[in-house]
Amino acid sequence: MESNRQITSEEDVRKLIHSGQWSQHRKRVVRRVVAAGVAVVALPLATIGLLRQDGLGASSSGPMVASVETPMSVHAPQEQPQQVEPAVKNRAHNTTVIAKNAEPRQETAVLDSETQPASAQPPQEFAMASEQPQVERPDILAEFQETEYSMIVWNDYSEADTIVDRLNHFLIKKGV
Amino acid sequence: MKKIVICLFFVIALASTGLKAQTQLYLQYAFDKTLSVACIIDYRLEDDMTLDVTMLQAKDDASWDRLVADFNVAALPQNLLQSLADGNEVVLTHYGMKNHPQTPAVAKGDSVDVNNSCFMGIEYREKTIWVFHYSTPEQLDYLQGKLGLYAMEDCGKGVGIGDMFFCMNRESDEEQGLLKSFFDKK
Repeated sequence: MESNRQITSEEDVRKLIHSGQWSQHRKRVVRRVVAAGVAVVALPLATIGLLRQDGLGASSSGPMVASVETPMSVHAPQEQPQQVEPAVKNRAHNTTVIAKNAEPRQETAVLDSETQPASAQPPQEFAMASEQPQVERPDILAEFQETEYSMIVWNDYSEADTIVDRLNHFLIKKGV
Repeated sequence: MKKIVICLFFVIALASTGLKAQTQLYLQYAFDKTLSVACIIDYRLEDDMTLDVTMLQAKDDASWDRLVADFNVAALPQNLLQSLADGNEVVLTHYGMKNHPQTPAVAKGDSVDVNNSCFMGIEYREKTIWVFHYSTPEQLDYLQGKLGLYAMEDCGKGVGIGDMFFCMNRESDEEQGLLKSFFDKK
């Protein structure tokens, strides 16, 4: 009971000192202050933790898995890297191809026929060069087989191989 | 910033080749991911004749509609397009202004300015517009012979420069009738 009484005056302090209970009182006060401090810090942290468990934060362990694995975050279709950058092909010198591929690759391939690294795959335009357009007039096609150009600039790497073939085909078709 | 640098690089690369209208047209559409755009420089027509050609191909109907509007391309009747058999193609050719080919085509009867006009071929099935940037009378003559005159023969229509020409391969009687019907309205 003594320890619970109110210490409100200087006389109360003196009584505690004389009775030998002053040191116990100080320890009790310190413990209460520390407990209050821990509560002040821990309560917000616990609140934040609960919010994160509800899926409002980023987490991927424990009970948060179920809420994280919603259709929005897991099954939503990945945005495809449709943006393509222009590329330049110079057949006149037939040496340098500068191709900028899709955005996620984050690289610009500069391929040179003389300095092309062994690990680099051959550019698609060279691989497809031997393919001929399907036309009904092979005699007219022969007229265009030696068609040359100095440069092609294009924005769609996948379509680059067929551009000239398509142009040849277009002109041939119109000549039929 | 990255795009600006890349764009700047190609502008310089193209400018170094002496291109003007072609560069403008290409760069206007090159960054549209719904289009396949290409510019062929010095495409060889004959041994001593080359030509710059720009290709614009739409990847879907929406982008094709935009191209058609930009280039003032006449829309074909849907029944004609639907009636096309496999392998058939309707091609519309007409002239436009070289620096602004998306402006209305040169009207029938107008003289064609070699220095300020281009020749366009439109493939409906392929959703493709070919822009031929000719700069000499010889190039124009070649295009007229290669595209215009043959197209006129195919359609049996004696139209003059500046008009629109159609070309269809192996068209059926029904398709031919639809084509002529549409053509007569022009």
